[in-house]
This record gives sequence, structure tokens and C-alpha cells, in this order.
Amino acid sequence: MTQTGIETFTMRLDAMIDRALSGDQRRDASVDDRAFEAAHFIAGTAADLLPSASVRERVWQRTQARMSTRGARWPLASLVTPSRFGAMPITLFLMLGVLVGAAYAIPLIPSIFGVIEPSAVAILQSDRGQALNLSQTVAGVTITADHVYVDSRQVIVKFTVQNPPADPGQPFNQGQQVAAPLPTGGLSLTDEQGRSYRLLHGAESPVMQGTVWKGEPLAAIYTFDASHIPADAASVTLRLSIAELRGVPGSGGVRYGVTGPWTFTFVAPVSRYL
Amino acid sequence: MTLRISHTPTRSREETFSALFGASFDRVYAFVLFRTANTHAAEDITAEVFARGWQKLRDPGDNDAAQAWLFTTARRLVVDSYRSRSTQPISQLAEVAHPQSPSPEIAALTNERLALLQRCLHDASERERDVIGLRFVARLRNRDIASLIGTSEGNVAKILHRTLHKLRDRLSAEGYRLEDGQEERS
Repeated sequence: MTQTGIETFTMRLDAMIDRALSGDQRRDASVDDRAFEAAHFIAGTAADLLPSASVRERVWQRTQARMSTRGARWPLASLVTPSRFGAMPITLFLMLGVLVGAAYAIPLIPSIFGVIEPSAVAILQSDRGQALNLSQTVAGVTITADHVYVDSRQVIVKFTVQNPPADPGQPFNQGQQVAAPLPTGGLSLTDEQGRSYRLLHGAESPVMQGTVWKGEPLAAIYTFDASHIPADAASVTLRLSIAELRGVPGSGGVRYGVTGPWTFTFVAPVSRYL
Repeated sequence: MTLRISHTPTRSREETFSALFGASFDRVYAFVLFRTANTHAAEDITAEVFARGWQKLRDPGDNDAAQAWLFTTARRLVVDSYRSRSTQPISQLAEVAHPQSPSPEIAALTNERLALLQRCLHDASERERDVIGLRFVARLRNRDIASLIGTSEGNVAKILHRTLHKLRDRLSAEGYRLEDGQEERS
């Protein structure tokens, strides 16, 4: 095969794999059927290896514990870089993270709310948050940012995923396009200055609801660290972005990802009552 | 590689590393789980990969370099784990990865597919499994995979094509068919 032929073959195979990973099942005459079929089988199966929110949280805590005992080989990097924490000793920062992480690792309410902080649910249920009701539809999947709550410690965001009214959804999946639990990818919260808010906790239904899922809209509550918000701020402009949904069932139980992003920009008041 | 982590001068090393973890964790974990077929090992190895990254990455905000380093380290630790750990059947992985499956039918189908994939890749070489895992699970580009395993981009495509053919033949031998976009088991 000539160099041009190799490059063409490489590009066609690469494009076919990209389509397989996005759930596009149209055949491509430029790539043989055997490779096409195998690629679709692996792409559908690989999605089931992705971690749940609880696994992500557990490994992050384990990683932080190891980080605190080893230190960075490049510790000066954090001192020469201006930051909110300035000259705060790095070890104190990490010890605090480990202590907080250890506290949340205690399985106080293991079955009802998963890894979510119970107070986040209580806050939203007591109507202390602000209703948003911002909806966006991408690739046939509608996400609605329902509520947000902000105080000096945390930002809590609740959103739901539901089919558009005209879409019947998947019959074998309780009429939903996205399967439960609701695995999201590339979830981020940023502010006007472009600062990224660190994810503290998250849980998705039906773990959050603690009941058998019967096809109701899938919901997720995420809590982010609010240390970027100035102490005297009355409100903050935030941007929630969900890059991908990974639990979209196709034929034969295959789960595909739907690439967004779904983005929501909103202004939230900062609560003075903790 | 497709993911980009914004790195501004105002971000501390802790914040930048946290962002790297958020952007890379899912793919590193899934790749390690694909290679080890052991959820406990996958969690332990992934935590070790990031802990070492915290120690050794000069600039966690340099996303391309950081991603390459993370997957290189993950591959090495996976090889090390073969010497000291046993694996669990991959058929158990779906239940662990998705403990709240919406229905027993979907959970059973998921388990069946993962077990089938494990059987079909049993005869593949370590390099072939690495390339499949890096492309389909970690979702790296061919040029990045080529750099990781020390070969050309064209050779990565050849390995992918060859392994996909092998896998398709094994799927056929297992009675698996995919016709007109619909999967069937005969």
C-alpha cells in the first residue's frame, strides 16, 4: 500500500470508529462490514465500563489521601502561581481535604442518597434555592436546570433529563431516552471570570430517590465548592455545562453517549443563612 | 486528544490538578477496568495513577502531556498488577459499574455483552488489547496511541483493523450477528 493509500485507510477507519463511538449505526462502504460490526460491538460495550458518580468520589478521596502523604515533586508551582490561597502551606490544604473527605466517607445514609450530601436535598426541598426552569434540547435529549442554591460554602444545582413531548422514547426503557442511573460526563460549573468550581458531591436518580425507577424524569443533584465566591457577593453569575450523557440505550441493551454540550447561564443570589 | 483544560495564571496547582482529575478520571478508570477486568484493582490503580501524577507532573495544566503521562502510567501499573492480582470475570463488571440498572433485562444484556467481549479478546495480544482499549475506551486519537506505544499512526490503524477482524470472527463463532443496525443472537 502506498503512503497515500495508508493515510486514506487510516482516516476512513478512524472516521468509522468515531461514528461507532457516537452511536451512528449507518454503514460505510469505504470500510468493510466486519470491522464496522466489531467496532459497533466494542463501542456499545465500552460505555458500560464508565464509572458511576460514587466510584468517582471514592477514588478521588483515595487519591487525595495518597497525595497528602507524598507531596508534590514540584511544590513551588503552587507558590509561584498567584491564587486565592496565596501562601497557605500546601500540606495544611491537603490535610484539610483529607479530613473533609474522611468525614464524608462515613456511610451515614448509604442507601437513600448515595454519595450526595443529605443537606443538599433538604435545602432544595425547603425551597431555599432559586427556581431556574431553563431547558435545552440537544440531539433529541432535553435537560432542564431546575434549581440552584448558593451560599458561602457550596453551590447546589439540580437538573432533570426528559424526552421532548413529541418523542416517545425507548419502550424497553420505561419511555425514556436516557437510562437510569443518569451518568453524565464533563460536568462543569464556572463563573464569569472563567474559574472552575470543584465538584464535591453528586448523585443521580434513582439512587437519589431511593425507590424503584418507574420512568419518571431522571434527576441529578450536584454540589460544588463555593470558595471562589467573594464573601460580600450578593449574587453570582454561573455557567453549568454538561458535555455528555452516557446512558442512552440502543438496541440490544447497548448504551451510547450523546454528545452535548447542554449549557445554562444564570444569576443566583448568595444566601446568608447557612 | 480532545479534552482541553483551561489553565489560567490565577489557578493554583491544586485547582489545576483537580480539573485534570475531573476531565480524565472516567477515561483512565474505564481503560484500567477494561484491561484488568477487576473493579477493585481498577479503583486502586487509578488512584495510584493520579497520586503519582500529583507527585511527578510538572504542569497538570498541560493537558496533552498530562494525558499521555496518565495513560502511560496506567498501562505500566496494569502490567504490574498482573503479577500480583487475580482477575474477576468481566461479566460481573456491569453490575458493579451500574448497580442501579433500570431493569433486570438491560443488566443481563450488559453482563452478557461484557462477558462476550472478554471471551472474544482472550486470544488478542497485549498490544492489540491496549490499542483497542486506548481507542474505544479511553477514546484517544490514533496519533496519541502511536506515541504511547511507540509506533506509527498507520501501524495503529493496521492493529485496530486486524483486531477488529479477529473480534468479528470470534463474535460470529459465538453466534453473534449484527445486521442492518440491529444486533441479534442466533
